Amino acid sequence: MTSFTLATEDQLSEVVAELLLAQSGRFNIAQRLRKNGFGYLKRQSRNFNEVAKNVMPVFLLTDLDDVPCPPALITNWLPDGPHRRLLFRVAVREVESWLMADRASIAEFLRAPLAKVPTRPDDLSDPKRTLLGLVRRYAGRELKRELLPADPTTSLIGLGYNDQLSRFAREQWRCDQAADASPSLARTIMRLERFTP
Amino acid sequence: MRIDHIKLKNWLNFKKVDAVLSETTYVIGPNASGKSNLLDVFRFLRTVADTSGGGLQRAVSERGGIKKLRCLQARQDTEVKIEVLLSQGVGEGREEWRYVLGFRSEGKGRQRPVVKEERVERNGHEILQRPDKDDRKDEERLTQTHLEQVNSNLEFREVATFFRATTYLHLVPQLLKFADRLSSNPLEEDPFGQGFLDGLARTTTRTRDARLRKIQQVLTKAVPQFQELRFVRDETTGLPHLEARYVHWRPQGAWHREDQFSDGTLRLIALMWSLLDGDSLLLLEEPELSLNDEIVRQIPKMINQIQRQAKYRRQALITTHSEAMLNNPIDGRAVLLVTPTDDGSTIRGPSPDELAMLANGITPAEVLLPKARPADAEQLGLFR
Repeated sequence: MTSFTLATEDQLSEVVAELLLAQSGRFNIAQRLRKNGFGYLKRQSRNFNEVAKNVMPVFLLTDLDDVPCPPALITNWLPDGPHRRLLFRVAVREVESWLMADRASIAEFLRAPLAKVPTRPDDLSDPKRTLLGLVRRYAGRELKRELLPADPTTSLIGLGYNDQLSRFAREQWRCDQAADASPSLARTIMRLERFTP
Repeated sequence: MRIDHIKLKNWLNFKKVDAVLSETTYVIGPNASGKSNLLDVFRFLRTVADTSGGGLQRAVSERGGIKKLRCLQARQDTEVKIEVLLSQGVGEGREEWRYVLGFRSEGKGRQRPVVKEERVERNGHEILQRPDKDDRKDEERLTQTHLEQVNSNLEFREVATFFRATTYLHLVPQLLKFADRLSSNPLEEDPFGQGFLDGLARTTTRTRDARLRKIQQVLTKAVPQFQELRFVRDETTGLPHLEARYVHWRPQGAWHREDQFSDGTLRLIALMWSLLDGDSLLLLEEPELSLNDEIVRQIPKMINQIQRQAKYRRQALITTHSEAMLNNPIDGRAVLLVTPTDDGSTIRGPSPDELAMLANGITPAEVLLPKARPADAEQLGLFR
């Protein structure tokens, strides 16, 4: 078993990263590092590189958001490139795309028709908004109350957003199914499979 | 004198503890994990060492008897044992002390606690070992420790004095602000700071003014608009008060009494005062309460500054949940992590991997605090 440090930007990406590592059966998690937002990850990325070099492998997962492509983001954060033991993975464009990529499960979770779930979630420009749109249109009252903000003008998501989607990820989401629809997730799984400490 | 090392057996919710203490030690852990119980060991020793009305019987009965005090998980071995390693000075003048106290219920009648073992070592030489032949002749003697008796603790009086001088501070600002209307009697050790102002009043003018000046220096940096701090007695009632002056639209500013201070300011003042007051162990319970994160971030630095200015450096043991406080480049070895398990809570310092992360620029708040979160915090959400 290889011990990993997880560095993520929020609770939801941490859960997803955790599931990806657990699924391989070869890794366990020794340390979780996160504070809300990518600002923290960006600020500390050089130190994560040092940890990867000197202490243990690091799995860093962040959202691409508005940056044009993952290599641009990685070069911007670490101009000299990441160390071999720093698995720097970027969800295109947000981790929500990866969740929606398991189309059947998310459709079941939100009680949405399968045809309404995007087939190529990596191509969405704002996956969170797409997901919230599905919630607004199809989800039951309870789920709506948790996932949607009380006042959309002051907050993008509801108070239970991260908790509910984390629960979905843990209980229903299948990453192998999702990898079929999301190339960025498929690449991440492949990199993990090929990883040697 | 300071405490370097503490070992416990069957103490409250700890089956076993073996922890190293630094000059300032931060104790972190989820709610109800036992952080305050760890601090309580030193309050217990304080009561045991109290030669005027304290002692082992009192210390145990204050905690609801030995049944409540002993770890629930202790089934076979029912002895409660406390072992403290202390030291004083450096180099050739360095002295090392070991104090061990083991006790259990007498197992009959009133179920009083009786000493099973009491041992004192100075620089590795044993100076007390109980039970001795007198104890075997008269078992009643075992209901008292030698620590609590001036006739018997002569050879280790310094240790007894040190234990007795321990201060526990968990200032509740409302108790101080509404002291006259609550008219309650402060508890003996005054853990909640009700008698804080009386303590100030008992200090000699020179010492008090010097300390208040030092506190004022720190406060002017931490509290916006704060300018000056002074001690006064009310002209009519003679009661002691603290007054602070803030920058104000009037050129002279305005003086406020402590009942107008913010909760945070009061707690800060009490925190710094206690750091300056005495040279014994200081136990602080969540000093971050009611304070802005930015000020909390400054607390470790403030403590350090005050410790350097004080006549004697006080050793501090601090419980905290605060990310802002631990987001400082503090020595990782000064953090103790309390984790609840099915078999009582455990205490540990950082592992070699965690220390290596700290050495690579990650702070204790990032490395250790996530481990002090409750196991499934996300699943604490009410709706499922």
